[in-house]
Amino acid sequence: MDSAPAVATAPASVRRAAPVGLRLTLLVGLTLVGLSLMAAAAAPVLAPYDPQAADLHARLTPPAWLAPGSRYLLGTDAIGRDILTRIIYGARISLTVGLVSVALSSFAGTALGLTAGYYGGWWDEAMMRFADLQLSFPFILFALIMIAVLGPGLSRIILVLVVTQWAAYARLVRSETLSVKETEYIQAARALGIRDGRVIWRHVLPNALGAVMVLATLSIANNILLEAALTFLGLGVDPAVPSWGGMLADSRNYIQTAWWDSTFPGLAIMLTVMGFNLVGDWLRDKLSPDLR
Amino acid sequence: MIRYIAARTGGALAVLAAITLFVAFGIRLTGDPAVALFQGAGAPSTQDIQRMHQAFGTDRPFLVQYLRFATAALRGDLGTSFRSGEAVSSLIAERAGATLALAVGGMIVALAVAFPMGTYAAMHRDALSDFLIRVGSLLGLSFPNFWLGIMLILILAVRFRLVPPSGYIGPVSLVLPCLTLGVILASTLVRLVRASLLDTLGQPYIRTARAKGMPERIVITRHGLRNALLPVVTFIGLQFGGLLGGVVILENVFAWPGLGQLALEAVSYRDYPVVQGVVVVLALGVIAVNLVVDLSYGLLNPRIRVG
Repeated sequence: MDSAPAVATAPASVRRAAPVGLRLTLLVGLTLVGLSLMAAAAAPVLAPYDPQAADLHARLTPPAWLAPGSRYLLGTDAIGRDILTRIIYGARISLTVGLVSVALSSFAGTALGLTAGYYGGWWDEAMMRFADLQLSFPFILFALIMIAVLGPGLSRIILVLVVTQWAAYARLVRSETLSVKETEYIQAARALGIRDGRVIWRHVLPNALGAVMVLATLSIANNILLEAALTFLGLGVDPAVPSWGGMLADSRNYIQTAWWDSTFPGLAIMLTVMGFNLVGDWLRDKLSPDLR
Repeated sequence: MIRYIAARTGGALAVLAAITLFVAFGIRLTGDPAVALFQGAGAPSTQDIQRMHQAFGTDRPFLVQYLRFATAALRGDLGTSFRSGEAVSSLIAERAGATLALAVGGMIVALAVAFPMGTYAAMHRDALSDFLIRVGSLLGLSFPNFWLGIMLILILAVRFRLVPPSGYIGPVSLVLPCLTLGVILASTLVRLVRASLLDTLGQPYIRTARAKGMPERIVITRHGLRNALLPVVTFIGLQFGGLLGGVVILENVFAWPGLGQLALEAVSYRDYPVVQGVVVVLALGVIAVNLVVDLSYGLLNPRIRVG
């Protein structure tokens, strides 16, 4: 459980043509991401029941293949709600948190990293010290205090993730900026009197985008895991809203009797996260092999 | 070297000061400990609340409270719990062993899995076994750690009754939490060991070693793994803060009597001194591990000894 996925790992001088598995893994990744996006977007159409509808006569019904005549494909939870339905609705929380938190933190981090790297000076110094501090703060402690202060909820989770993750993007973008700042084409553009904003936008930013996209994709996967973990601890989204982490938290009391209650929501998290990880790995190989 | 250590220690102290300031300030915004303590015991009178504030010292301005805490902490005194009246340091000492056992046990499992598998995958690159090991590591990266814990409870404790599902009833209780933590850590480590070893094996001195007829086993262990170790050690250091997060959640899953559980309880009771104390100890742990990692570079690779 880390606050930023391990992007900067080993140097890679060894690279070979894509192994056979690569195309296939991308296909699997895109399929998994597509399925979860579809579940989130079309939940009311796809879900067989209402996520809050409790059928008290059918509490903890096993999956349909174990309970002949049951109307619930993946079984029901402790108050008789359909697990499949809640998993489909749960995709909304996971994907909202994953996508929104990454969009905001990558935007903020990129803007700060670009300006810090390009202008240097006290601004750069201040931003980087701040980023160091943020990165050395153990995520879980930070999240625990922030949630205790702000109270739980979807927007608070997103805020915690953005506040803890902008620094990783800022560092990454700053180093990319520094590496192109002194190149001749940028010097030439500046000598021609092109405004800073335009130089940054047209010439510096495109160089950093590949690395940002890789980090962002892998962070979506990571943030979905973090949200589920916080919700599981009771520090996340409202327990009444169907979410994967919340379903797992509810299922703990029935682990001895109802394995399906704790198995399927976790499977949903795993498949979604794996989808984003596969796409991220592929992007990393494609766009910035030096991050391998 | 001494200047380097001094600079690093200074930086670490600044980080520690910032973290404790944030936590001390933050936890005071979460609510009144006097009110939290009276929960379920009827409505306290205003005088009761005032007396408690005086006893806790929470009637003083924030900066006074923080400086008191900080100066006492520098002398090794972390204060007393609002809730139990016990010394925070002894509460932490009671729990720290359990957390440490979990973290160390998990790390041992991770290393024991990751090194052989990563090495094997690197030596058989692009073979089926390499592909399978990489798929396995990807699966591990996609598991929510607490769910893996639940699944292992379901299979090993509920279905086959091999180990106790949760709590601490002796060394056998360590099996499930350490296995869970270890598998999660190993999935990242395997990739890293593999990539790092492949990188090393592409170096000219490896070719030389092979050319002079050195047995492959020795090439891998003496020249390959030793040099591949550096990025792996860096990573372990960087991940220690993250490891902590995993530990806090797994302690919750396995009802493990460690520091994470202590912190979670303390936050919900607004037990300021305990929250502050646990944070100081955990942050010190992270900082110390990172310092040791930095200093170990010189041992692992004489080329980058700091002057």
